[in-house]
Amino acid sequence: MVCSSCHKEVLVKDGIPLFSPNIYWGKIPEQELNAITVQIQKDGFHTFTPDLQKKLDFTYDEDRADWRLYIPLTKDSVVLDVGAGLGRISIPLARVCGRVIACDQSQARMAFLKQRAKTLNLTNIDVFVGDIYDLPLQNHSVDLIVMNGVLEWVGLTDKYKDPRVAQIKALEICKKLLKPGGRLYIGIENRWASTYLRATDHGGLLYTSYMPRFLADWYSRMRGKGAYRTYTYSKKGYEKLFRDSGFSIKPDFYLLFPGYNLPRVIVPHEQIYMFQYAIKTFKHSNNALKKILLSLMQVPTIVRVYRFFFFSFGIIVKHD
Amino acid sequence: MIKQIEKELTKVLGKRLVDSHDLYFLKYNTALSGTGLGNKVLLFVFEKEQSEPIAVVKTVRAYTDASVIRSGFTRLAQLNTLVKDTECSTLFPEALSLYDAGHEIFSVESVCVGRKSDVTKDLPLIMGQYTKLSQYMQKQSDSTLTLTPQYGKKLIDALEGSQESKDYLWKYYTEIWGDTEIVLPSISQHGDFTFDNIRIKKGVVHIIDCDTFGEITIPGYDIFHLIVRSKLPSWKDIFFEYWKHMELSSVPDKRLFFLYYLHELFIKKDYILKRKSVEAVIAEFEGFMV
Repeated sequence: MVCSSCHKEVLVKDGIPLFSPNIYWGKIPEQELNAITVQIQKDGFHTFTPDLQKKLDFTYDEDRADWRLYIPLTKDSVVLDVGAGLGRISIPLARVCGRVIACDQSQARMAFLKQRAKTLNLTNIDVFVGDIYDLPLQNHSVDLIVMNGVLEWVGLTDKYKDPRVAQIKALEICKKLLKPGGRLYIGIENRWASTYLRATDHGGLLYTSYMPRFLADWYSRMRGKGAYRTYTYSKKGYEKLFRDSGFSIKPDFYLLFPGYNLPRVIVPHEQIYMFQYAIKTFKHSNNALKKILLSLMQVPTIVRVYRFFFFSFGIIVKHD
Repeated sequence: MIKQIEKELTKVLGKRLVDSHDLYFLKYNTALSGTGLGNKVLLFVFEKEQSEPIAVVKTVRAYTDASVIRSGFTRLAQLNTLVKDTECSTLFPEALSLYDAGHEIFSVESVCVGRKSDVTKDLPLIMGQYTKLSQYMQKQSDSTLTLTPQYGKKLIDALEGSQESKDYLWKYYTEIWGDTEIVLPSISQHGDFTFDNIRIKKGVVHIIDCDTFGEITIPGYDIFHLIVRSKLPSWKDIFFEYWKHMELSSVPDKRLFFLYYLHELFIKKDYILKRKSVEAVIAEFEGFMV
């Protein structure tokens, strides 16, 4: 098939155009996911049991794109979901937008998403296998670009030596694709997240997120994990990254609890008292230590500081 | 939708707003029942640097589920009218506005601020207020509810699930019910009376999430609902006290608890009950029966 946008010859497999090589990673092996999709095609989605849904990231939940309530979207809006996975964002957005273009590096995931969209009669989702650097889209053609849990992985590309440069190039592409006034949504971890004191970051090691990049890289290689390329940033770091990518309007930051993949609570980063209200109203614990920590959160200065160690951000960047 | 929400809030809240251009939204949904397509999404509305919200906007993720917002708003508005100018009026939020453009829908309510109620600490206060509310509702309704075998049959028929499970429930139902009927006063129930939905501020009780208020009118259902969802140490006393205060002539028995149980299944609030069989749930309550 010849792509109508880039005029390149494109391989199409099972109705899905492949603009980049198939790369898979996931919570279950690729073969297992393919088998599930075949089973669903044959016997229907009821075979996709609740246990399996839970294992595969709560596939049917519709709340992952709830941040869209903060963005003016209409029935005419065109959305690009980069790293769309099983469709936890593409599906809810397709219900309210005109067209959703879902791309992912994995054919297995796109085949699943295509099947799910068909079952839900959502005819406005187009899927393809693609990489952020090879998107077959015209400039200024998209109202919203979604990169949920993607930007940190962009550095793994072999197209650019420096992970930060790879991230900037990816963001520059996003800027080109956006219509004037369009939005880029990024769901991503905070480099200084307190969680990283007790859990590994994307590189698979403890504390690398806090280290200077050169040290993290050296340590990662020493521990046999290869180069450290999955960069995350602090709020200021992200602001600089967007500026360096050509976005001139200051982004809006949101705190997402418990994380950007399950954004049950969304609070604007700047609203300290609102954040305090959220903690007071929605967060409870019977654990004595946690109770003390929660009560400390009623001190504005502590909350003000705590925001900078919060686990994840939702970032909305407007194209000028 | 955000632009429309801001516009509507400016219209509804008017002079109560310091600056209508400086509104901020806190999005919230529950983990257990707020992640699906038909579930409500809440946006608490704050003015800049304010510590408490001035309103809450309720919406759904797709217009196909608009009825959730429409019916919730209507029920709250009816409840507001019912308790207007009574001491029960402060118990509930106020239905302020319903925006329905045919492709997007949201409602605006006032907010009952306060901390989440505490199972051990606040129970006497909550029960006192709830009993007063029930007494008022009973007076307002002034009608009786005759629970016949058909009432339960209708509920079982309407349940989702396999025919096998329905047959099982029906068999159990006919065994305990026979040809009898229960006559009770009709008393509007909250429908989701849980500690999560009860807020306390300076010793004042507020009951939120009133979207299903009045759907069920069997007295005692709310208390049953509260008990099965909490680890209440002395639920028998709570139920007995409530029953006594309401001066209900009919003594609660297996049949009534079974109807409560069916309602739990019917409104799909079964995340606790599904771990227990109907016999197990009713056996727990059996000790109360005279």
